[in-house]
Amino acid sequence: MRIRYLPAIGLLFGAFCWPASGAERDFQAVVGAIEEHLGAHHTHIPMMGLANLFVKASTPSGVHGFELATFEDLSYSPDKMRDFRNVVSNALGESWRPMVQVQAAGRREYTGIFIKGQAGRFRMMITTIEAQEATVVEIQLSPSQWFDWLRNPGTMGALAGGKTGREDCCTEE
Amino acid sequence: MKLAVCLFVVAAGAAQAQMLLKIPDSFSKLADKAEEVVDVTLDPATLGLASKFLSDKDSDEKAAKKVVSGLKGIYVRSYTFAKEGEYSDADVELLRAQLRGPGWSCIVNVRSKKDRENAQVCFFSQNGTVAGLAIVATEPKELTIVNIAGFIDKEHLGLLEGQFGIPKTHTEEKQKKQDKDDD
Repeated sequence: MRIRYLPAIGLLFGAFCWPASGAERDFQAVVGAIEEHLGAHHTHIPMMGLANLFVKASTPSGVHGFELATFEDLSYSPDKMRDFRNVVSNALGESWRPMVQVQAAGRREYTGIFIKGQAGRFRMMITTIEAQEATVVEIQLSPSQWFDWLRNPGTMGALAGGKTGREDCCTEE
Repeated sequence: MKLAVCLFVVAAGAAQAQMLLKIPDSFSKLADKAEEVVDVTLDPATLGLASKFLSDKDSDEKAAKKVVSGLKGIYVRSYTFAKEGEYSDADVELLRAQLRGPGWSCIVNVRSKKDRENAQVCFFSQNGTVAGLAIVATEPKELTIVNIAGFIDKEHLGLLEGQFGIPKTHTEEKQKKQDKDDD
């Protein structure tokens, strides 16, 4: 093996190992709490580490890194959703601040957005459950990007769909 | 001197406690009954994070920092119920009683007998300035509480419009259109 390939191999190795690093304990705590509470395992997403490497390099929409876990075909009692907000907040601990929580226990739906400031950046943990599916996303973003999202929540759509959503957000027809 | 400082600190703390509406313990039962519960919390720690990281160089961030630095918290709690009668007048009275306390004055009271909708907008005054805002809106199947704590002037209220999920009201545009129609 030629020595010039070693840095690239190291980068790839790091990208794949990054999710298991100590800095991501909070993300793993939420995923683990959901697995324990709802009795399910998250779905494996191939090449996530590599995708994260690209995000770190290109920082789309001010995002410096992300973690993603999905759950499919969840089967659980609706009673499990009653105290779901406590499940997430207990898993994250007091250093994370709850920003938005929407819970519709009857429809088995929950959305929770928690935030934490760390080393000049913001970490945002977004947990959504819709009946049989659940998603946990943690993103690391710049303060200005976070504040832009805070002011105009519709701009979060830029990350997913490429449109800013700024014009549509928060206006009254 | 020490006593005066202590008294000032105690008084400031008491005023801050008054401008924050206390959500009654009984509301946890309402959350269990509600079809949907929305809880938006921008507490001092979260706003402090924003204030700490916003730049003084960028004009937008500077303006936003000015707004945020005066605020102590933004709280929105909304309960939507599947059927009527899930919450009682006694539940709402626990909130309204706080708005009759010292410092609070309710300037807008809207009551619709037909739709059975009520809305109350109250301001908390401290040293002649607005130091808090509360809105309690009730509908047969919905109960919404908004509480903004901290110093807010008229200019800042305008800056908050369309931010933090607060709807744009287009008041100026509507007024211009009204004036044009009148002409």
